[in-house]
Amino acid sequence: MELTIVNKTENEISIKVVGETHTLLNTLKTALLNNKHVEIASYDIKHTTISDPILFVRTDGADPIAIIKKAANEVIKECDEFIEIFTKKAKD
Amino acid sequence: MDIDIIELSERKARFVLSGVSASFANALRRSTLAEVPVLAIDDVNIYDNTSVLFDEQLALRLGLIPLKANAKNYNYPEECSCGGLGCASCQVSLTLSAEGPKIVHAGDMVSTDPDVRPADSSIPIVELKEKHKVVVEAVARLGTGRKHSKWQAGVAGGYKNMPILIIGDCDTCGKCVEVCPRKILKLEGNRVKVTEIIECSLCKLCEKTCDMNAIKVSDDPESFVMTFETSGNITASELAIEAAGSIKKRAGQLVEILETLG
Amino acid sequence: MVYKCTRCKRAVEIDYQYSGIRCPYCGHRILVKERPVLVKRVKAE
Repeated sequence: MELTIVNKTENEISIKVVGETHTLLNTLKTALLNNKHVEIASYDIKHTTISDPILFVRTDGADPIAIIKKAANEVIKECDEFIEIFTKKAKD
Repeated sequence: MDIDIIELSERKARFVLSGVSASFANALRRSTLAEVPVLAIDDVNIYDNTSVLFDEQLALRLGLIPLKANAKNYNYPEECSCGGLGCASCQVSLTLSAEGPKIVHAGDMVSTDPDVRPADSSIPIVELKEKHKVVVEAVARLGTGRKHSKWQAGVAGGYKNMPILIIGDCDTCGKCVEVCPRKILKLEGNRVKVTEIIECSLCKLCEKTCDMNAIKVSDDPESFVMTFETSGNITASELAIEAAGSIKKRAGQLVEILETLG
Repeated sequence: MVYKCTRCKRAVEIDYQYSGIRCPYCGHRILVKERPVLVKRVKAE
């Protein structure tokens, strides 16, 4: 994975996430929208097969990078929870 | 989050995943299809082929055979310490030599690693007639379904929202019982009972047929009935865990890169 | 490039000076190209 910052201001950021797809970006978007500091969170894949997604986040003034980091950590937590519960239930 | 396993066999998993967003359920489905690494035949060295199939056709058929292996023992060729040249930790070679008349099956392949073998030994590869001969060496590598469908670990993966069926005041006319294509409604005394709510396809035919508007069909937006099937590369429970692990890995990479950005 | 005569089954080299295809041993005019004895590498896709 590679990140390139396309545009960044005080409360806005758009980053290109090279080599990623809806799989990560859509989960991340949902996690971002659950944060009350986030005003807009969305991503765009210009061309389905050849473009890399560009993630856009606008916050109410909080640092957008820290907010994306927090959302990614929430995704990690959700995956961990799934793995833990599934492993437990699969054994029974 | 809660998981309620309905069916879990070697190649099929069906469970109710509740308390998650639709995007997580979809990410999990996408991940099973395209992100879980498995082994598949990538290169074929053809020493002799006098069968009726062209070399390319034969190679394609070999490539699409699901290989059962412990994928954790192997590295991606591009990430391997050998630099992609090919070594024992990033590729396995399978040889196949057969002379007609016979039908060559996937089980006729001889692997250098005893842990790597075709998931189904009865898959036919080519039918050989008198004097036909096939001598090939196939090289299997690790990959993901995103690159080519031969590396797809999960096949036929999908989900639907958990159906909710509420039956109110009912005159037990029995029309809904007849019209239900999944046959999940049953007339019991003076009540209509739902037998297998998970089987409901949310077609709402019962709702439309009911003259009294007594049936209400809806779905739970945070609860999903997920179904995965594997091609035999890995077990269904491994697939679900690996799929979630893959999303986790990606999110972890994102965090790592964001740390460096500050 | 070695060809094979379909009548006498012998390996035949083609004579490019001669304007046509013909087996020098039996005169048959049908030759088939044999599969070369080298390992062919094909991508399985």
